[in-house]
Amino acid sequence: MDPQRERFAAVVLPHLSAAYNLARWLVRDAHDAEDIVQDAVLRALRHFGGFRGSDARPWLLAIVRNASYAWLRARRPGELHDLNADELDTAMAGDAPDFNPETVLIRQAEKQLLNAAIAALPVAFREALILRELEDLSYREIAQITETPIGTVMSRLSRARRLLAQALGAIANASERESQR
Amino acid sequence: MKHDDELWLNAGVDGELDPERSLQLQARLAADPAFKTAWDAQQALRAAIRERVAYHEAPADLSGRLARAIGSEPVTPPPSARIFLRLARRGWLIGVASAVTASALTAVVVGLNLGRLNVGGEPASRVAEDALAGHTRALLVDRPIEVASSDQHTVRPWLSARLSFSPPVPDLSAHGFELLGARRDVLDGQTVAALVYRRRQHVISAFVRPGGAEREARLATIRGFNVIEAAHAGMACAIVSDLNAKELGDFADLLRAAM
Repeated sequence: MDPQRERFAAVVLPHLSAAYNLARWLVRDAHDAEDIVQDAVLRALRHFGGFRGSDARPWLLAIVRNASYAWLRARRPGELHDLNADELDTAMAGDAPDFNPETVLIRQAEKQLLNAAIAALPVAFREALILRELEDLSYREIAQITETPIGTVMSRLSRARRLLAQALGAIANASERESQR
Repeated sequence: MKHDDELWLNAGVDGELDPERSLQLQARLAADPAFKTAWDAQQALRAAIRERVAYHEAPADLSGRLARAIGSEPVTPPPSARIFLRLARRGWLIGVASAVTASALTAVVVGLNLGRLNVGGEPASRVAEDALAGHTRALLVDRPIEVASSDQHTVRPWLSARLSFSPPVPDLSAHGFELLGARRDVLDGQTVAALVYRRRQHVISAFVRPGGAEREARLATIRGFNVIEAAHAGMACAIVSDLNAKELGDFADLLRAAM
């Protein structure tokens, strides 16, 4: 086997699940995520000669992320509309409303609700959260993968968590009202 | 909450603060109950996400197709190694408490081909236990670091002036290990240098003291933490972190080379 391909298999393929998990969370469809990852990995193989780092995971994730966005642009452009970043980041600059997330409610949030609440986040917030919490990447790495400044990564993450806490609080409050009726 | 405070709190939760801002955050948490409430809520949210949000593993037929296209054997790691990698990646090792799980992980570590590390099957040494206690205690209190500096030329003289020996304080930033600072600690009844480094959000404590016969790096897993002991050129070290065994092994090699 060609040594370059051999090295690719050893260095890049162990991160296949990370790639699939990201694509799956970005496009929210198992079948499409598979297609996207397959194409992205083969593209990564063609460009592997240019890879110089020691950790292939962020490198592969950046390629998968671009492929997922290209797919969204072609198939569901509506989802990228709210990504018009200036608007988003201005909206985020304000102080948080006086909202006191109930730690207990968060702690008890059910698996299904939590996954649905994350899936419902705008894609820019969702990806920051997935890269941070499920891939354990640093702000710097997330900034590189998403091609955004570190400051934007910080505010997106903090906004993502605020939205999520609000969603969980709202869901819990609604079900409480429901049960009191 | 003020926007800046919210960002500060989030960066604190993510372990992205420099030592100075981190110490300020500790002080604020102690002084401001509302801030502490917000902090607890953030921690609860993170724990909920890490425990309950789906991590979608690549389907086996996708791995198979790609491996064939590339012309290699399928490289899907065995399930046990995959779980280990994922735990390490998600920083879950802290939560892995039972002795059974710990020994299972030790076995997996062997499977990960850490050839240069001796993986011990016998009980953890007294020094390793002490080192772990020092590491976790330091993370709990306000002052994990007495001299906060990323400059080895500040940290080393500070330690030399306060200890009866001069420990190595290598600059490992080029290797992705950031020096946060140092403190004095007690290990096995002896005052030692505790160097504090960081890799991503994982804090690494390296306890260095003189003495000890030459000894190859040896890894133990205690209550989910990885502890590596080694001795070289008249210096002994015990290194503790929740960082995965592979990267902590790299760190141990670098530190040993500087001794």
